Amino acid sequence: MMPLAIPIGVCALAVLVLAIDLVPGTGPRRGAAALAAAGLAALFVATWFVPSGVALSGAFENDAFTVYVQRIVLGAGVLAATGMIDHAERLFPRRHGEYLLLLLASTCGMTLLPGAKELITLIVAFELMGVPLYAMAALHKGTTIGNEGAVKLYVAGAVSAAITAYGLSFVIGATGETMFSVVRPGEGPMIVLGALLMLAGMAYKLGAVPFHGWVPDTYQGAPAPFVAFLSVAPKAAGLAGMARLLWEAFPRTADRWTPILLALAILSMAIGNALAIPQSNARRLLAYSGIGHMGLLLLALLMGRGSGLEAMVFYLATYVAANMGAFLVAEAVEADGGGEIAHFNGLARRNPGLGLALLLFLLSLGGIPFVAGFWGKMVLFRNAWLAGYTWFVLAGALVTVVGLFYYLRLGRAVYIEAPTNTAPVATGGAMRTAIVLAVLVTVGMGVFPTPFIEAAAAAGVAVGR
Amino acid sequence: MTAWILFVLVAFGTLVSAVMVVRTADLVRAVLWLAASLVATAGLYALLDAGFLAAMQLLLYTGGIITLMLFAVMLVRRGPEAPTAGLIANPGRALTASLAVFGLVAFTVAEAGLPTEPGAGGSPSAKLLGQVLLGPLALPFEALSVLLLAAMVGAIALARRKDPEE
Amino acid sequence: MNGPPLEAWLALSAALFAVGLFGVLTRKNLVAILLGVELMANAANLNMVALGHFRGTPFGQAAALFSIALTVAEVVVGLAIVVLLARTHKSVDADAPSEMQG
Repeated sequence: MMPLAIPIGVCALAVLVLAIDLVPGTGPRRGAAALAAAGLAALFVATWFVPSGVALSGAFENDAFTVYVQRIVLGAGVLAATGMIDHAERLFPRRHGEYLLLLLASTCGMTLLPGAKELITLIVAFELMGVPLYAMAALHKGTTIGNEGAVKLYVAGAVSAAITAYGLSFVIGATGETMFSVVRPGEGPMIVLGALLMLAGMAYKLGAVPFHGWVPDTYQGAPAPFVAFLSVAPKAAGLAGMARLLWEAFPRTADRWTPILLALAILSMAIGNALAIPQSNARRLLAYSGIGHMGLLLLALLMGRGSGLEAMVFYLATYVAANMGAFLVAEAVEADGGGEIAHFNGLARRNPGLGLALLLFLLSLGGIPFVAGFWGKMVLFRNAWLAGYTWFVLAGALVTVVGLFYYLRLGRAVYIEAPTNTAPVATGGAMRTAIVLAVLVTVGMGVFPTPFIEAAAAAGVAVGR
Repeated sequence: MTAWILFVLVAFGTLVSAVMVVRTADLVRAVLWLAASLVATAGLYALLDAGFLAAMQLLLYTGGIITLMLFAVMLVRRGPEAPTAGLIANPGRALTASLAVFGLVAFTVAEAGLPTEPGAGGSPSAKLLGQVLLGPLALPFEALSVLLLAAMVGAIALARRKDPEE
Repeated sequence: MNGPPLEAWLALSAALFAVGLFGVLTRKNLVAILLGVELMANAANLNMVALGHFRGTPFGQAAALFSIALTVAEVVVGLAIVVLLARTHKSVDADAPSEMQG
């Protein structure tokens, strides 16, 4: 039972936060968000003390891989909760207690997912992650495009769940079992079909091309603090779950599904980056850039256990702080205006701190030394080169150059363009804290990447042992 | 022989209702066709010796989901015109996609070596199912309860009318 | 052997899944899309039970039970979104007036 401590802890925190919110009384409950943030931070620290091992008949295992991804997800949760402290009442009048419960429930699913070693646990964890997100997306003051974004997210989620369930049925049919370790020796057309369907369902949830249609609309429409969380955490947990599933349950049929993964990866890289270029809305730009990053992550996943998964989880770690940070800054700017790039003009003059933070995040996303993203890409390219996937490196380099083009366009607006509105951009104390945290992680990992890389290496070999 | 006849009848009912669900313009009718398809599926479960599941299908799907959907559709109605289901005019691409999926599955099934007789252990009693749920599948069982809590809270928060103070 | 073979069952559930997918792809109204998703999920469940029956494992039915519960949770949230949409926009078209550009 003890290896399950983290998911249980998140669940307990969720119930606690809900209970606090139920205490009668009016007035904003800032305490709830702060408690959630503190609790998640405590759980983050706790990951170093939870015993590794298997829980509950082997359905869950707490190993290096699980823990690494859990830390990523908990970190994202801390940023999400902290960023909410000031704005909760404005964004979710009288409902932020529910929002926090949903956030924590989703996070609970995300802490289960990387350790799931059994098929049904996997899909339940996926849904536990996803269903609260659908509600969160719609749970704000109800603007038109906001709801459209929520609807697109929901439909994508529901359809992908059905596809994954259908795939699951074939795997059970082929092997009669649900534990990854028992399914593993299976071969044959039904397993391949099952694996492909499950892969398709999960890729849909991750927003890989050609299942990416819902991503830009959701990112543009839903409230910024939610999108910040959505853009990183479910991706991390989802990729982790997918990696475990494919490499622990279906390694025998890898020659059938790796080509599909490859196609998804290439398409995502190409289309994500290409479509980011003409965007005039910062949120949509970040959405498409995210699809591009997803392509690189899928390439890493494809390279398999060991160096491939090492690169994948490390890249995710570097990606989280920068991407969330960028959306948090976007939220601050939007509180003052809208999400168009033009609104970022002259941000450096209006609020130098925000401008610098955003610049650092963009540099990290673009892969410039010496912020975190640089190392993320370096490790990925190095591992790909060493494993003989030379052309990955070339494609990746090309894509990085394209990415810099649009990231720096946003950076240019921040620093070089004249502000259209010269009023200073205000940020609450908690939002500032969240952004500073994100900056610290981004720069910290950029300057001292080694411990994170070493932990990633341990994570990479933990899968499929 | 009777097994075959029953199968064909119930299967036919399930499939026809399903097609009606996706082609009826009136939403209320579509939901009722779905109810028919789900009830027919319960019959199919009974044919597969899955009595407990058939009962759950009727309780949860037909009793729960269909009722909820009817409520939602009724709530959404405004004025005299019924909400249409918004059928898209040109279903060509959708048809291709659906046929492709069916074809893929059919091809796989043809290739695979399928068991010809129902296997032993394929008709678990409710008791055995309970043991499975509390044994090997205990973890997803517990995680599911968190999900249900979240879904409830989320749905209530989304759908409730705003308080008078707002 | 006095009943239909596994192939028949698989063909049936594949057909149901395809019909559901068709529904999802050809409808604009959110509730109608939900109906299509329901059909797909139901087809997946039928597949689980049939395969479990012929393979001789209780996991088929167990998986179907979980799938039913998951679908219920999803639909509950989906319908809440429908109700919210109807209240704020008076229209439940998933593709209705889009303010977002490509």
